[in-house]
Amino acid sequence: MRKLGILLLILVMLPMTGCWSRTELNDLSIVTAAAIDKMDDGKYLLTLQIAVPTMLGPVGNSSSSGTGSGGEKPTAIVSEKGETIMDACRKLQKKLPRRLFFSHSRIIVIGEKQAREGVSPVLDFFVRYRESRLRSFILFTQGKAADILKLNAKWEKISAEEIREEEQRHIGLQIYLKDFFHMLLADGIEPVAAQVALMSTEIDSEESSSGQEMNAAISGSAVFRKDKLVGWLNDAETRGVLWLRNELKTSIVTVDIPEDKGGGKISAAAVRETTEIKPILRNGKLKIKAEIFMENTLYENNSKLDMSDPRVIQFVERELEQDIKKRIQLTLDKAQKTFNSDIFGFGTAVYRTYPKAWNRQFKDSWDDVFPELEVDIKPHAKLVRTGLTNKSMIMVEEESE
Amino acid sequence: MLDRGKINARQAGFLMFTFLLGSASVIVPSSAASFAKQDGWLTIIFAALIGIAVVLIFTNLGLLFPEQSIIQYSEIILGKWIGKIVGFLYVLYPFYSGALVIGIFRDYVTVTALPGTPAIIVSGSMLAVVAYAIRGGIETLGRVNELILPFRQLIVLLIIVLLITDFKWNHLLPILGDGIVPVMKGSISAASIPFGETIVFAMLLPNISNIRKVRRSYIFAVLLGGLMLTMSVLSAILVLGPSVVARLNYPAHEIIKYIEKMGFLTDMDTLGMTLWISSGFMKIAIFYYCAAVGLAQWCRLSDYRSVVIPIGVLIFIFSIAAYGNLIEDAVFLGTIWPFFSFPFVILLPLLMLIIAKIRRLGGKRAGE
Amino acid sequence: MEYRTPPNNELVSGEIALDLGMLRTTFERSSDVVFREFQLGDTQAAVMIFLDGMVDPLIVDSDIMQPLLKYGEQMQQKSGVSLTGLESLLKNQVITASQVNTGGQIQDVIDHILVGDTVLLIDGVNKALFISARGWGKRAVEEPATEAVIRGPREGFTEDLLTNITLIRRRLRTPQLKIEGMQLGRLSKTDVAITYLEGIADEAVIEEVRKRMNRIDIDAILESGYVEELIEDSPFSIFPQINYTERPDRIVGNLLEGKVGILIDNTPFALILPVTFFEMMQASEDYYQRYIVSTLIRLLRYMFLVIALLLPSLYIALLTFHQEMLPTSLLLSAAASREAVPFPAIVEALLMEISFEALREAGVRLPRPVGQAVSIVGALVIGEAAVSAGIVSAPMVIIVSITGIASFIVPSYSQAITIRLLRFPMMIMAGTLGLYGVLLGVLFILIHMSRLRSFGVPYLSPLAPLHASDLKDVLIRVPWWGMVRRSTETAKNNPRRMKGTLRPRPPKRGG
Repeated sequence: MRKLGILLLILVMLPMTGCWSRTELNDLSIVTAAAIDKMDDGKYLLTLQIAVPTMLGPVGNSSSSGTGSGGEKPTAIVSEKGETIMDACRKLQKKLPRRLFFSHSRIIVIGEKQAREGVSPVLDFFVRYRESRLRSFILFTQGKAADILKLNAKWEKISAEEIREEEQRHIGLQIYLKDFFHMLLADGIEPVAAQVALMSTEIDSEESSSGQEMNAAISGSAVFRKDKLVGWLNDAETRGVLWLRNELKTSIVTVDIPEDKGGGKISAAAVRETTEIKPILRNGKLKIKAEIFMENTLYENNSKLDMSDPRVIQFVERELEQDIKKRIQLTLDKAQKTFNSDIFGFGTAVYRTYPKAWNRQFKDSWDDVFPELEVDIKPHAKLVRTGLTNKSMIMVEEESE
Repeated sequence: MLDRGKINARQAGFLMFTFLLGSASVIVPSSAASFAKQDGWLTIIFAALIGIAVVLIFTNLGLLFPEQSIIQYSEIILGKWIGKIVGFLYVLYPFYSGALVIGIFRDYVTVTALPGTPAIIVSGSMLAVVAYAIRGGIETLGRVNELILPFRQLIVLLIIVLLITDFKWNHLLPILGDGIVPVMKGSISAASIPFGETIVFAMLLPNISNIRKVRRSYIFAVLLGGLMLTMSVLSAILVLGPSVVARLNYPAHEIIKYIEKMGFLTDMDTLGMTLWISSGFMKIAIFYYCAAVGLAQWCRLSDYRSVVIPIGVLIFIFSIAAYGNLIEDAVFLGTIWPFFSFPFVILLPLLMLIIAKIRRLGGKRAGE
Repeated sequence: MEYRTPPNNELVSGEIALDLGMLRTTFERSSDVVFREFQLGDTQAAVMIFLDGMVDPLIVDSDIMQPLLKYGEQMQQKSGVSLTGLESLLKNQVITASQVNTGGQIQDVIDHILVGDTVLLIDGVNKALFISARGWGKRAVEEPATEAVIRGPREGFTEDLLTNITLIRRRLRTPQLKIEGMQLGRLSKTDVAITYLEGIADEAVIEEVRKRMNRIDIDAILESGYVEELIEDSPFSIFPQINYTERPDRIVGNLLEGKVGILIDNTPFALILPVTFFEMMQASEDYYQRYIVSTLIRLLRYMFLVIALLLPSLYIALLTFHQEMLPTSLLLSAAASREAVPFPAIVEALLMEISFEALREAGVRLPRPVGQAVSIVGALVIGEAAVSAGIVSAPMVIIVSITGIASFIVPSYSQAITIRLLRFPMMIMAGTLGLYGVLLGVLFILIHMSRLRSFGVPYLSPLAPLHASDLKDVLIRVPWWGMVRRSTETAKNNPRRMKGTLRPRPPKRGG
C-alpha cells in the first residue's frame, strides 16, 4: 500500500519536472561580463558580453577553424538602456532568445560618468540578485565601459576571461565586489578599485594602434569618496596604494645609482613585503606610522657596483628604501591633498587601535583630520639574494680590459 | 512511554549538536554581526553559557522523573489543571518553533537555489521526508543523525580550510571596542535561538537508555555546538568583514559562495545549502517529533504515530500562515521572540524544579 | 487426475504382495522407479525399490545385492531363513553399505525412495530397510562464477547440499560447528541446513531463524531466493536484508563473526544472516589482500557506490538548476556539446540510463557468443553514433559509462542492483527540485535504511548506531593482528577472536 503511494507520488512528479526552476543549458545566455554606463538622458546603459557556446566547444572550434570565416565570434555583445539595471535586463531579455544568466559574469566594468555620479545605485543589483557573485572583479574605466567588452580575445576564448586572468596575477589592485562593499560600508576607509584601459600591445608601431591590436590592461586605479569617483591614480601611484594597503605581492623597484658611484641602474624584485600601519595617539595628536618590510632579490644590475661586497649591499638597500619612500609619499600626497579620500584605511586602523577615541573624537570629523594627518613612512628593505650571479658580468669584462 | 525506541546518551548529545547548528548556521551570523559587529562571535560564547544553564535546569528536573516527559510530570508537580495547561504550552512550543524553522528553510532554499519553485513544494517535500523519519521513532532520528554528522562536519572543516587564505584577521579588531553592551544584546537573541530551544530535549529524556550520562553529553553538545557556531560567525566576519556580514541575509551561504580554489572550486553555495539543510532537517524533525509525541502524551493516546500526519499538515499550514517573509521573521526573532520564549525555556522549568524539590516529588534517580 | 495420497499411518504389512501393490499404485506412471524383485534363499521373496539415477549402481551391486544373495545361499544351506529379527540381522551383519535404517510405515518407505535411498522389503518382515546408496550426477566443485577472486580459494558451492556442507566442515573442524537439517517444501522436500558456530552466534538469533524457517509452508523451494523472501524482516524494502554467497570461505568467515548460514539443496547459493549494509560492501578478498591495499580498495568502493547512486542525478541537477556551480570553462564546453541535443537533460539521462540497463540485462540473458556482438553494437550505438548524430551529448555518455562501471564495483550483486534502481528516482528528484531534491532523496534513503533491521541487527550498524570498536572493519580493514574482537552486534557472547598480542615485531637485539 505504502509502496503504491510512493510509486504514485513519483509518477505524479514526473510531469512536474518540466517546470519550476529548471532551465536547460541551451536556454541560457551565459553572461561573461557586464558593463554599465550612464547615458546623457540619465538612464543606465547595460552592456553584456555573452558567450556563444557553439563557437566555444570542441565541435564549434573545429568547424570555425575549418571554415576560417572571420564573422563568427565566441562572444556576442548586447546592450540596452533602462531606468534600473533590472529594467535594462528586462528589455534586453526581450531581444534575446535565451534567459540571461549572470552567475558566470565575473567582471563588472563601470564607466567614468557613472562612477562620478555614484555607483551604489547600480551595484545593489549585483549583490541582491541570486546569480550575483561577491567574488566578481569590479573595474572602472575612463570613458565608456562598453568599449572594454567589445575587445576581441586573443589568448583565451573570451576577453572577459583575459581580464580576469590579468587581475588574478596581482599586478594591479585586486578588488572584488565584496572588498568594494566592505570599503564602502566600513568606517574610516574609502573605496578604491582597479582601472582597466585599452592599450595597444605594441608601442613602436604607431599605425597598427588604430584599433585591432588593442588589449585590456589593468593599470592605475579609481579613487572614491563614499560611492563617487573623485579621481584616477596612474600606475606608479597605484603601487603606492598597494604598498600602504599591504596588498603588494610582487614589485620591481628600479633605483638610479648616483654618478659618483659609477651610475647605471639596479632593478630588484621584492619577494616578501609586509606593511604595518600603526596609529599613534599622543596628547590628542594623531600620527600614523607606516612600517614597510621587504625582502628583495636583485635581478638586474647594469651599474658598476660590486654586489659581492656587503657594504655595497647595504648601500643599495638604503637606496631602495629611499625610492620606496618617495613613491609612497607621492601617492599619499595625492590621496590626502588632491582627493581627500582615505583609501588606505588609516581611519579603520585608528578605530582598531583606539576604538574609544575614534568613536568620540575622529569618527565624525575624519574628513577634516585625514588631509592633515602626519604619516611617517619607514621602509626597511633587505637585499637577500642577488640572483644567479654576484658581480655583474659586464663589470668583470671591463676590469679585464 | 509512547515510543519504545531507546537512544543512548551519546546519540542524544549528537542530536542536540546537530539541533544547535540547524537553522542557526543560516541566520545566526547575520544577527550576531548586526548586533555586535566584529564582536559577533563573542555573543555566541555568552549565549552558550545560557544554553548550559537551560540544560542543567531541565536535566535536573528530568532526572527526578526519569520515566516521564515534561508534559507528564508537569501534571504531577503542578496539579492536574495547571499541569495540563503548562503541558499544552510545551506541545505548542515545539510546534511553533518547528513551523518557524520550516519557514526559515523554505525561504532560504527558495531564495538561494530554487527561485522558480513554489515555496509550498519546498516545505511540503521536506516535511514529507521528515514525517517518514518521525514514524520510525527516535531511534531512526538518532541513527540518521549519527550517520550524517561526521561527514557533514568533515565538509564544514574542509570549507573552513578552503577559506583560510581569505581570512583577514584585521576584521576582528578591535575586540570589545564598543564595550560589552552590544555583545550582551546580541547574545540574548542567540540565547533564545538556538540555545534556548534545547528545552525540547526535555521531551526525549525518557527515551534515553543511560540517562545518568545524559547531562554530561548535553553539556558537551552545547559547548561543541557553541564552538561550531562561533566558528561560522568568525569565518563570516573574517572573510567578508562585519559591516558586509550584517547586511547579508545568509552570510554563511555567501562565504561558501566566495570560495574559489584551483580555478574550478567556485560557487559551491548549493553544496553549503545541502549542509545546512541536512542539519536543519534534524532540527525540524526534533521539533516535529516532540510536538507529535507531546500531543499524544497530553491526550493520553496509546500511539503517537496516528498524530504524525495531522501535526505535519498543521505545521505545514502554520508555516505558510505565520511566516510570510524573511525580514519579518528576522525582526521577530531578534527582538520579540527572546522575551516570548523566556518563560518556556527558563522560568517554567525552574519553577517546576523548585516546587518539586519543596514538595519532595519524584522519587529516586534512575539507576541508583 | 487428482493425486491420491497414500493413507497416512499405514504400516508395512509384511506381506510383500500387499505392500508392493500399494507402492506400485503410488508410483504408477513413474518410469524411474525400479522394483527389483529377488529371493532370499529359495523361499523368501524380497524386493528392492529405488529411483533409477538417484542411486549409485556400484554400491547397490556390491554392498547390497551381493551380500544379500550370498547370505540367502548360506541360510538356505543351514536351516532356512528365520524371519524373526531378520531386519536387524541384515542391517548389522550382512549389508555392507554404511548407512542403514529401518522403519515400519509406508509413508517412510515412499519418502526414502524419493530422497534416493534404496528400500528393501522382505516377505514376512513388517519392517523396511532403508539403505543409503545415494549417488547421482553432480557438478564438480568449481570456481564460483559470480565472486571471482585474484587471491583466495577457488572452490565454490555446488548444487549438492552434502558437498557444500563438506566444504564448510573442511574449514571448521570443530564440534562447535552445528548443522541443523530440515526439509522445506511440501512437494520439493528440499533439504535445508541451518549452520552456525555454537558459543559464538547469538542464541536468540538462531532461535528466530528456526522460528521463521518453520513458518515456511510452500509447495517447493527451488532457490535460496525463495527462503530469503519468506524470512526477511521488511519485505517491502528495496534493500536486500540477507546476504548470499557461493564461496565457502566467505560463509565460514561470517560464521566466525557469529552469523548464521542457511544452505539449501539444489542451489550453489547459501544465505548469510543477519547482515548489515556495510558487510555487503565487503568482498572476501579484502581479508586476503594486504590490509593497506584492502583499505584503499574499500574506500574506492564506497566512493563509487556514491557515484553509482548520485552521479547522473548530480549531473542533471548541476546542468539544469545550478549552472553556477560549474566552472565557467566547463560550463561553456558543456553548453557547446549540448547545443544540438534535442532533449532536456533529464530525458537524455533517463534515456541513456535505461538503454544501459537494457544492454546489461540483454548481456546476461543472451547466449555467450551472441552477447559479445550485442555489447559491441550497443556500445557503438549508444556511444559513438548517438553522439555524432546529436541525439545525446558526449558528457552524458561519459556520465552513463562511469555510472555503469561504478555500479559493478559493489561486490554484492543484489546490493548493486538496488543502488542502480534507486538511481532512477534520484534522477527524477534531481530533475524536479535540483540538488535540494537529491538531498531529500538521499535523506529518505538514509532514513529508510536506518529503519531496517536484519534479524534484529540494525542495518546501518556499526555506523548507526555507532560501535566504535567495529569501525575497524567498515570503511577500513585493519590488519589481522588488530582484529582482536568480533563484531559487537552479532557476537556479544564471545567477542574475543585472538590473543591480543599478535602483532609481529622484529626480534630485539642487544647493543
